[in-house]
Amino acid sequence: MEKLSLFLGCIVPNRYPGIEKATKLCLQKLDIDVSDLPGASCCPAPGVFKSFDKATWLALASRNIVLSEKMGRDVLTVCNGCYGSLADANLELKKDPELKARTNNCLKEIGMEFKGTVEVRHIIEYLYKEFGPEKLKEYITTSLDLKVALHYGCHLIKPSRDRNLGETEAPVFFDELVEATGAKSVDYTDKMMCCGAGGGVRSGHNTESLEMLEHKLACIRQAGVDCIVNACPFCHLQFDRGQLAVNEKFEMDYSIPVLHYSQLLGLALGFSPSDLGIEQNAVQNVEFLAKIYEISEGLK
Amino acid sequence: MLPEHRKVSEMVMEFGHSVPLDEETKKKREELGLDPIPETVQKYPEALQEVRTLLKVCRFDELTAEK
Repeated sequence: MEKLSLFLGCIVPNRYPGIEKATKLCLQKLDIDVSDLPGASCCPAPGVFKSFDKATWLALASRNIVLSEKMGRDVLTVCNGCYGSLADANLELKKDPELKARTNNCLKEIGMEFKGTVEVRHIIEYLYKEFGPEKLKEYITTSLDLKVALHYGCHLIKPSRDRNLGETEAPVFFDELVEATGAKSVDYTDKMMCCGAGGGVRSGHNTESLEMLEHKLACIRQAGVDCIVNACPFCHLQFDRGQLAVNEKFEMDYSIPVLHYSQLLGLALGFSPSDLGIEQNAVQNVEFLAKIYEISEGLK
Repeated sequence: MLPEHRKVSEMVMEFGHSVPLDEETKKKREELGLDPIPETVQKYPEALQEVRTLLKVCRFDELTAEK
């Protein structure tokens, strides 16, 4: 396995540090060689930067990749949006010499050069391809008796031609990683629908964004699950903080706990909810917290 | 460009992040045993300057300026 650098992006270190902590604990437990990526910036956010100016998007994305190239490490992200920017930019620059030359012309101003020597990985595709559910099970010490509504998100699976993750209309790879922890991935209506946050929608069209979220939450509640699991901090923020906004705007009473996969896996690897920052979420569901503490302490 | 999207662009120009660190999250980081300032552009002024230089070279500041 290649050595990795952990690309944090914006929302993980600056709003949900529990995901950062959980990811580091999991990677250490799985004996994966990973280091910090000092000086990394916003990926930059594909919804705004790629949409408005591709040259800027490539310049900032390539700078982040070059930081990892200098360390001789592949980039690991725990965010679908960051994956969408970094993996797509990396691929475009490797494929198109003219685009690479234009981007390097910008990077020259800060003494950098994109060489195209590393890969960009998402933690879910990394774990699926490098470990797989069966190998992952060998590390599990706490089987999780939880029913989970899994949210794949968009950039993890699209553009499908570049992801090489098999079926992308009804994918199963992430479900298999969830079920490796002992949890049950429960099917629900419109499972593959966007959470409503990405593409600049949450920031620019908040009402529509919350309407999309409310629809997903209604479908998830109907499925009768313990929690939502995602692999993207922007989806995580939308489901967690957005849930409170939905309650206020539409006079609803949702209280569905939200975990990033690193936090779910962390529980199954024997870490406590407090180690993983699960209690720092905006949604405070006392019953769920009691349940995962019982599981974590071996009482259930 | 919507004002909300302009704001996102301005955040990256100022902080290097579209969602910059706040005091509440610094406390959360410390509670978890993490460094209150993450190992990102926020910790390294020279890294932030690199981001700003790239934005300027690409004239993104002009593109996103209010007209």
